[in-house]
Amino acid sequence: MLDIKHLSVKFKTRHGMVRAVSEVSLHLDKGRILGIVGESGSGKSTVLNAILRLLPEKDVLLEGRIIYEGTDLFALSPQAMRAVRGKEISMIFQDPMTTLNPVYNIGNQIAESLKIHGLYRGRERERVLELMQEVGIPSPENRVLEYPHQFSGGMQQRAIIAIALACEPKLLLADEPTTALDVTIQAQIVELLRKINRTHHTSIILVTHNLALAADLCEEIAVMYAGRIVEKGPAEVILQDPRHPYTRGLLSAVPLPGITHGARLTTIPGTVPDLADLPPGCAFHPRCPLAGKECARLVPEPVEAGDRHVLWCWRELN
Amino acid sequence: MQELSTAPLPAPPRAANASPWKKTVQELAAHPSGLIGAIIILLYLVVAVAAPLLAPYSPTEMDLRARFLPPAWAAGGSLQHLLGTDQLGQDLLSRIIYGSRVSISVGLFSVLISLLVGSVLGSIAGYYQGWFDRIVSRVADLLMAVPYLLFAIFAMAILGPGVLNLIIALSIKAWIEFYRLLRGEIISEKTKEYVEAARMLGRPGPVIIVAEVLPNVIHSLVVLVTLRIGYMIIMEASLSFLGLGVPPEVPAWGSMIAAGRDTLINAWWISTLPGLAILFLVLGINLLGETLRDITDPRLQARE
Amino acid sequence: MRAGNLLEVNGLKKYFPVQRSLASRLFGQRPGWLKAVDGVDLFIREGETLGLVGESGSGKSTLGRTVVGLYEATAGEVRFEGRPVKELSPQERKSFRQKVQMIFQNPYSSLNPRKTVRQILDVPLRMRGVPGPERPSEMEELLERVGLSRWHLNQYPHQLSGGQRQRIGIARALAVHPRFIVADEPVSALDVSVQAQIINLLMDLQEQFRLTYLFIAHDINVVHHISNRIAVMYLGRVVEIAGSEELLTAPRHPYTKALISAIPEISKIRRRERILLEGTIPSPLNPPPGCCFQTRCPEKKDPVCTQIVPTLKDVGGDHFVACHLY
Repeated sequence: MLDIKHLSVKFKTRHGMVRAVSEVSLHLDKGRILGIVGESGSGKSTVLNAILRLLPEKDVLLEGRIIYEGTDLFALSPQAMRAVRGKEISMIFQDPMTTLNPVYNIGNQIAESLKIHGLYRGRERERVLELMQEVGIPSPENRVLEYPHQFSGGMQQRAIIAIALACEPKLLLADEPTTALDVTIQAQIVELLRKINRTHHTSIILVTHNLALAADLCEEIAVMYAGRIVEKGPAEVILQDPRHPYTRGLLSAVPLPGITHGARLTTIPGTVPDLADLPPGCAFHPRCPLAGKECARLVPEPVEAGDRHVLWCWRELN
Repeated sequence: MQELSTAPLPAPPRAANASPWKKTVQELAAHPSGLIGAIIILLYLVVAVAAPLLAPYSPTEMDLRARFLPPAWAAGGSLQHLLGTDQLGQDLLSRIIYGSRVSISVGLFSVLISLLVGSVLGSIAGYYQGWFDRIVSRVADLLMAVPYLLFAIFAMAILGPGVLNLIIALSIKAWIEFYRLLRGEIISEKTKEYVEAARMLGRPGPVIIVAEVLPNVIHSLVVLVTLRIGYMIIMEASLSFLGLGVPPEVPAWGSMIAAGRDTLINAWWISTLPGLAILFLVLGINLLGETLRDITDPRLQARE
Repeated sequence: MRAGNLLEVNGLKKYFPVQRSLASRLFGQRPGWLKAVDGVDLFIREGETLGLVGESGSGKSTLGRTVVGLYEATAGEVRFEGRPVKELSPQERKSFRQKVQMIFQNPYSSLNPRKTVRQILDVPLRMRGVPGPERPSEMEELLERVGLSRWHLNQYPHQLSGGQRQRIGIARALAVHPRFIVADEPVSALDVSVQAQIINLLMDLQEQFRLTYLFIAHDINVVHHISNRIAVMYLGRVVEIAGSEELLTAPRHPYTKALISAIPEISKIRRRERILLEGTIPSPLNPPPGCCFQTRCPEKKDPVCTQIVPTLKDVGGDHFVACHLY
């Protein structure tokens, strides 16, 4: 249902063009959950914003195509794009505190996208209550008139999910939806997303820095580094048999109960590169334990490592 | 995967290693309006300092035969008095040159005094809060409730005319702006972790204020200082216009405007030219102040 | 105080006054108290790392700051090296200041943005009484210890990456030769690959300088990795303390059980039964009576849980639980 083909996003800045995303191709079938995992500056959120064309058009150069159910989103007029946003594809943001408008009550905010798209006319209120029920906000009749500050962080995130679900979108983009939340609340939100996926067959793209979280929810995972996908494949494969040195490094850098206690953690030396000043060739090569001469010269070509498992690395060829 | 060393790679040295101050100066050069403002201010400063050298006549020398002379470029003007003369035959150019001394010194010193008083009180109130803060803040609130000009008129009526009295009268209220700015900035800065780190190392409160917090708020202070100097110059001119500023024999732009207002139709230059002098100085100050605000505002910098 | 304990906390409370508006005060509402830390007993043994986990609002950060003296305790006492901190003479307090240091969460705000690394590191060295001429070599050594090099000295914090800033923060704390360090979420603002570097660094330094840590974090995996023992906080109270392994494999308190089951796991295969808690942590302005966890507890027993505050009980093997079930 969603096909991202050779997406590149360049930002115009005072220091020239900065490539935030390069040559990203992804495919998502109906009812599936895809995870995009990466550290800060990997371009993972930019991909989501590019799908909905939420990036400021005058400062951004988009290349490639995004095909949603047969239509090229980049070719749509701004009006047509507005019809897609919220109705076909909707988005959940990281910070519930800043996503909700503090001066409108929750009910109004959920009803707003219904009004924009002219859905459920005349029975908006019932729909809002139904949505609040669905996302697990207790006693919706009482809470529909409350304001965001009367909600806890977890409840705010549920309200945001209710807003995103209002028009029954076919695709839900979730940008670090649990990062601002506590672990026990995080678990609640993950269960909610899973339930939405199962009951409505809503496809989900989850963007996160937390590999374990992606593993928990997603069927497929793409790992991004410095604007490029370095490895993608089924979640179990990525987690149990990662082939890219970066994915391996990322996995072994996370402490695991019962395995790493008290021992030194394996680390990736150095830091994530500045997008304005990327190393040539494979962007990971300065930090890579396996790097060789070709890594510093050429950007790696995709390699099939198994069923639906692809990676971009010169060293894994052999 | 093999064990990797924990030592981070040496990061490449970055080119931009200039201090924030040097950066400000560089940025200023890149903003033409701020640069123009700075040049205007500099010109006025030179004129004020070198007034005896620049002025062709004494500002109080009367020549009753040459009253109401128009500026040199107007009909009937003479090159002897480039900007013409007033109703007492005093040379306007010389009076405007000397008038800059009153305006600039009142503007500068009233703001410097207010800055000193306001920052010290604001720092203490902001850092320690408690009873001191409550008392000073209430006093500030009270003073804020009185209109500025009314307050200054009242103060000048009691103190009598004079440059020093002008400075005092204006400063009694002007410190509040600095007090409020500093108090607010310090309250927000002191919860930051770098201040807690300094406390952990056992640095005493006053040292933390001066050595840790002040460098972080000095930019907003500089902006406020600039803009307030412009405001104080206008206040001084207003008081002088009302005859409550400096004694009549001292040339000041405000009293010069007042002196010419009866003959505005026939001898427009007597009021207009000192007015323009005020206008350009305050314009220059505001241009600089606003540019400083733009280039030091972190929210604007974050967009880079 | 038992031998071998570097720090003891007894009945520690920290309440913050809540400003009510003038109007509500006029109408007789008494000012409220935010009970951030509400009666905590802890001890930390010399050379060990005590992990402190809890969700936001549990009071773990406040506890850390009260222990080091950034906040003044409302009640209870902190004993360091066997002596109550409150009773120290001004001279002794100065030395306490240097023996106890803190590493902060946010590497962006924990360094003064207007100061170079040299200026930042100069302060602690001066406070320790290192004479001026010796400071440059001490600084170099410090930087080397934390994995940086000499030429970082002239840089400003904004020129450093998050991980590098955190290293500077660690160097600043080390510079006064502390015995005890409170690390308040030292890695939670960092990227995963950098987190591991900092965790390793902290563990190396502990070994080299025989440091004692109170390691505060919300990520149980990280805390478990670095700690000998873990204390779990909920709503201003410690609900369970046990050895790291023991706590993760055999948690007793219903809250700890839920917390541990909520962590997403890398391997999908050995998924634990997930305990989903209802609702969220209550407001510390208005904590529930009885057990602080009773509003969300799946194993709540009326009326004991709703009426009596449970105290920490020894359940054997250095394991303490504050729960009426035991």
